[in-house]
Amino acid sequence: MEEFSGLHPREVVRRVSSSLGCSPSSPQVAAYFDENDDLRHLRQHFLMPKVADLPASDLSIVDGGEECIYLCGNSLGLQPKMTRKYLEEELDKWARTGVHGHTDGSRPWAWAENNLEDLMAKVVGAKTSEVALMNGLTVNLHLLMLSFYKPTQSRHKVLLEAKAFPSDHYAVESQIRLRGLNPRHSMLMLSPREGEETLRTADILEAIEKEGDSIAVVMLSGVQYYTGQLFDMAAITQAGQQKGCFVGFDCAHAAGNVELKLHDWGVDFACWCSYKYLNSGAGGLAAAFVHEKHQHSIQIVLIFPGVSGFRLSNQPILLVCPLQASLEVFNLTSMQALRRKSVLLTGYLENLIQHYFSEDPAEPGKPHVRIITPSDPQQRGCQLSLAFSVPIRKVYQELERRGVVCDMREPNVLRIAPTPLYNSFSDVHRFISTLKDALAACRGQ
Amino acid sequence: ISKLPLDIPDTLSSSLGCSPSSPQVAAYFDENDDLRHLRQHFLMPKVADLPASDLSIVDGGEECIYLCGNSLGLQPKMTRKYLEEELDKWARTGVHGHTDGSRPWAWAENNLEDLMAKVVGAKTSEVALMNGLTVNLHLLMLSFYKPTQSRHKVLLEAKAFPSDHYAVESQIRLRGLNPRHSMLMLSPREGEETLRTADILEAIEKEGDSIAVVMLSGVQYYTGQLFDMAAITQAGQQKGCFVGFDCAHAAGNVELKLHDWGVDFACWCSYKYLNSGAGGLAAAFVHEKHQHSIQPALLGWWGHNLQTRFQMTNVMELQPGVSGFRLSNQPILLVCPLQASLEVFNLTSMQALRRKSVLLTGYLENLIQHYFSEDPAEPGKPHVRIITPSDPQQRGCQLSLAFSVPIRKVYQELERRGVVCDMREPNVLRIAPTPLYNSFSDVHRFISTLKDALAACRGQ
Repeated sequence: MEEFSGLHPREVVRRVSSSLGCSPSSPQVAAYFDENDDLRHLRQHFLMPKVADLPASDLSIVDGGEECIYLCGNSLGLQPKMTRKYLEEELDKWARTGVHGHTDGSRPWAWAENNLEDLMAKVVGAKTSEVALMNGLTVNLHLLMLSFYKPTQSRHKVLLEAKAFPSDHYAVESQIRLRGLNPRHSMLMLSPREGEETLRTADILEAIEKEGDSIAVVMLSGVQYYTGQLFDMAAITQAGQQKGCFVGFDCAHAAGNVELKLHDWGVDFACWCSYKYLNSGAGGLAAAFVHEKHQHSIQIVLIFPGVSGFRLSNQPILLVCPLQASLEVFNLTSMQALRRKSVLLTGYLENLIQHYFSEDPAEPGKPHVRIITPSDPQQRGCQLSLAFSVPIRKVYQELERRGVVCDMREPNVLRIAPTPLYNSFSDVHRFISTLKDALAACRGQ
Repeated sequence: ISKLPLDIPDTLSSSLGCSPSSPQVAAYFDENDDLRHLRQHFLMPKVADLPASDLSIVDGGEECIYLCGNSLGLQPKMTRKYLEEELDKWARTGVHGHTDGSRPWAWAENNLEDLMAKVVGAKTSEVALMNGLTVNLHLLMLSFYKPTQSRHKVLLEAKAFPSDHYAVESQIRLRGLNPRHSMLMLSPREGEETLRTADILEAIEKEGDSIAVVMLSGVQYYTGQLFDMAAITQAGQQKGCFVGFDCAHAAGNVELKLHDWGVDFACWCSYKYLNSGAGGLAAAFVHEKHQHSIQPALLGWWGHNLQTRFQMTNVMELQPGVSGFRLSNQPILLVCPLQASLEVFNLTSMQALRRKSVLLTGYLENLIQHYFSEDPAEPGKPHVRIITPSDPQQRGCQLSLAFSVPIRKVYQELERRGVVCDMREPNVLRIAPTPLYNSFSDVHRFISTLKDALAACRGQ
């Protein structure tokens, strides 16, 4: 699919359908993309649920033996197949040798998480020494903020999105209060313009330019959880640092999704969880990044030099196993290749949404979808957030009955995340067909 | 049984008509141990599977002598099944696992809180299962350690577990204070290894007005000393201090009454006596009296009221007490082994476990003293001094043994013979016969093996 690189996905779809002699919305287009998808074999490394096993499937209207349409990797990634084997290896070792498991076997518990650092570092564009696998995301965010957020009289603000993920919001708020400051004055929240849903990069940079002297830390998400917007992390980092701010990112929705270059961009710190696009299971081992430039300068508040100094305790071996299984799959490819597929995959989804569910002045009663997520592929990851013109709950239920797994945000939003690691173009096409059926079923009621 | 454990073997052996050091005594105790069946709930390694076993001198098919539960507890048998259930659920339903099944991931750890609370003598609402011990210690210290000009010190043991020491040190520095002035460390008297309760209480009496937080371990990791948590709590609070305990070596080992003693806060890990596996889910305790007065310093969305948590309003509705300290969803894979373990604890009580433990460790002590006391008649003979207090009320199940010879070779000879225990160079072994799965025969076998090991060292 390299021949399409550089082209907007819309254009790619047009060319393919044209050469196939079919409509862009034909399943043939999906089949073509799948046949030519160099990464399609990666799906085999994951366990895809069957429709019959999903709690809400209605087997009278859908074939239970089919694989479900799982577009929820942004919420919980699928289980890597090797997970079970690796866990069993550690359970066996524990059963057979007890405490010796700390130093013996292929995953000595005392340093097992260290062995995954280089694989993780590759995924986020960091040096191995800049990455630590530990704790949960919010714990890590707090540890990092305790070291990087050092407010002074004049430079005391934290800049973040107005609709940051709740945990980030509460974390920043509490960090500010911990310093005896008032979130009302020190929590600088960026809102989209009136009538818009995403933040314009220019507006973010302008806010930094304007307020930067009073900002201690810029802490944004890499990819916004609600809108799916991918922030221009390189530009924001540069702008923030030019004003003397530390710049960090919550990469929960970015790691494993988009190409990150935390080291090259000079990002000061970052943290992310691993149960979304990194497929390590609910509550999986999280991560932290501290740029090597801070190795000896940042006073690690809660201990030693470099990101290693942020480690507090031995990490759980049972959490290392699924993460290892997942990172090994990432290591069969590259974030660059995944991203290339993702741009096309999500562009294909967008194309079909616009084809079938655009607002139609001729049919005012027809449900339609507005895509909240930026249309520029460089400003989004794999997720599209879809705002429906009807309440979403019934639509979501009808989708579930038909074997779709995705995320609903009431009152009227669906988040659909076709992940390049294991989703196919046919998944997307099936989703669209199913959405048509679901909307029809809602109208019928 | 009203006599001290030290006397029991003598009395018993007398009625059995054998020596106190006879294996018959061990056999008798095991036959009459109401808790012996609990061993079946755990996976005991075989000698042949241990890395250092020398099968030319020991039978590989035998169960090993595992006296290392104070370092890493054995695997509960149900662990694998529970993990497989969650892996299956994940494979078959993906994200739906958060709300479906017997362990909905979004609140699975909450379902274990009452079992855990029982183990530590707390109310369910006072316990949270989360993170690692050191993270929890930090979260608690951020809320309880509020130094003022005059009241700025933290009292702890001079030889606290390193993680505790670093944690306290960093907490002090975080406040802009100097550990040299604000870290008040209690050392044993000259020539002694454990802290006298009277000395701890005196230190609190003397310095209490300048102490913000008393933070000791419940059971000291190195010496095995069990502190008088009730007295220390009372003394500290009378001087206006907050009192907290790192119960890493106490939870699942000794009877704790965190609520009744009025302990302000506590934290513990679960991979030692709570058998949840390396890096297992840790815990935190905050007394209900602080429910509305002590606020968590660092927040995350898991501290938000569950009913409205997923509405994503970004307006915090903080849960009261320790629940507000939660930051995120806990890993389901860590809930499984802990559940398996706590279910075994729930088949008995800490009271019953402790009763066995006092006898079991007393029996160990009895045999150590019988075979390895210093003998003025044989000055060249290796001997053992027990560092741990001899008063059963001042120790848990662990005995720390100081050898008159370097320990490394002894330890290696023990390992060759299927013993699993912990070595602290230059000359200490920590032996922890745990009531949940160790037997009196384990102890007897250990002693025989130690004799062989010492003989082998002498032979070299």
